[in-house]
Amino acid sequence: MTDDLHKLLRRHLQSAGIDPATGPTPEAWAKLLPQLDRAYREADEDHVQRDRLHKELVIAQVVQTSLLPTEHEGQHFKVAATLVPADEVGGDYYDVINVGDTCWIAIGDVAGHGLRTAMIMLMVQSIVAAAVRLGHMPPSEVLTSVNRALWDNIRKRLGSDEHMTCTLLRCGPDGRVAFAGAHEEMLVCRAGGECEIIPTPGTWLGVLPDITGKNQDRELQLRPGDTIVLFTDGVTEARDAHKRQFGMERLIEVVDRHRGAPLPAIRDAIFGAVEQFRDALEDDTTVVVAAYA
Amino acid sequence: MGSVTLRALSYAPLRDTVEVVIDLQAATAGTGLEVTAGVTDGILAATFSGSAEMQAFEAMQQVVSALHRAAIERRVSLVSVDFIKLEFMSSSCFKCLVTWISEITELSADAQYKVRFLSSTAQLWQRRSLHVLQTFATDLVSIET
Repeated sequence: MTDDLHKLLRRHLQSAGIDPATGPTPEAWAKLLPQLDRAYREADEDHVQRDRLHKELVIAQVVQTSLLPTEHEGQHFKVAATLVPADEVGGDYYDVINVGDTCWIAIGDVAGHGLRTAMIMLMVQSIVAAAVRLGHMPPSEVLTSVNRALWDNIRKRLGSDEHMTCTLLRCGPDGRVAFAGAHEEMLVCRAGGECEIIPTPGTWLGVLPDITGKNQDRELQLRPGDTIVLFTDGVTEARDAHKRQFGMERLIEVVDRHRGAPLPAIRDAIFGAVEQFRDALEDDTTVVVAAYA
Repeated sequence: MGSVTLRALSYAPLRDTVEVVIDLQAATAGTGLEVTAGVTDGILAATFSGSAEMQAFEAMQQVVSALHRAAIERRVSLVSVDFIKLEFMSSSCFKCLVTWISEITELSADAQYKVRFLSSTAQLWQRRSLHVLQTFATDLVSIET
């Protein structure tokens, strides 16, 4: 603030033809003072407004991240997750919702940054949380319903063009995981075995009014101790000073090194490795680690 | 931001010779994104290289609308987009591709053209995102690796 005022004073002195080093004459002061007074008040109001906006964004971030569970101890599935926004608020999304003996896990990313993407992320969080409670639907059908509401909100009501990647997993008590949607690839690490890369070849949300038939339900069978790692592009596309990406190989290496560790430790190890690798925080970063118990 | 122009070459086109060059240099200058494009035998071919960072969003918008405009004006049946050497594309820039495909689907049937993306599975962003474009317009978009 002090620097801003100094710059403002210097600018006003110069525009009044006064050398800032020698200062104004008493006559010049008389003309200058009301002008400065007005300018200072405006600058102060600007500063207060900027400060208020920053505080509101911080509050939005707190609301956004407070809604998301960081640890979940279900009867059959345990989950550890974290979202670190790049800006005050971001477009990454995940959620873990227990409905009866089924655990729903969602992950996604709204294209873009800022308050609007965060608002859409919160919309999706609410719509998904309501939709999975409507009945025992396959994930593709839930996504079709979510898309219908989201497309209407984004395209018709907001008159905007945001879209979103999203994968939805329905984890059953028998270890069967049905999933649909299009987001990043998933990692499935078998207890004592290899890590498999599972593609998610569906479609995004918010582009088409109706995505019926665009997402196919696929299935995984987990055994006790198997782990699923979900993430956003802030992990694999984190870049070092030479613009090299963190990539899948490094991610698999970290997960493999922490095989058998508690889920929060795996999550934190991934964040630690990404943090150490990247040159700067360019994008939201989300990691969700789930295990079948 | 510079303008994008269609430039017809002055000599008679030979087979396999670019008939029209689309000048995109001014649009992409200083962004880290490079695009060359031209029409040959009724096909508009565009080759992308470098990186489409978030800061290249406006350039990407200009490039995509220039390609769309050229495809309509030249009445091409196919736009071939080579992404093999494009190392990165931010989600903001990718939005331009989503908008582009939507615009093609909104054209009348006789004005629509197909888009073929040439891709590399080695690039994470392409592996994750390109196939989704096909789901928006199955008949118009194809992906080749």
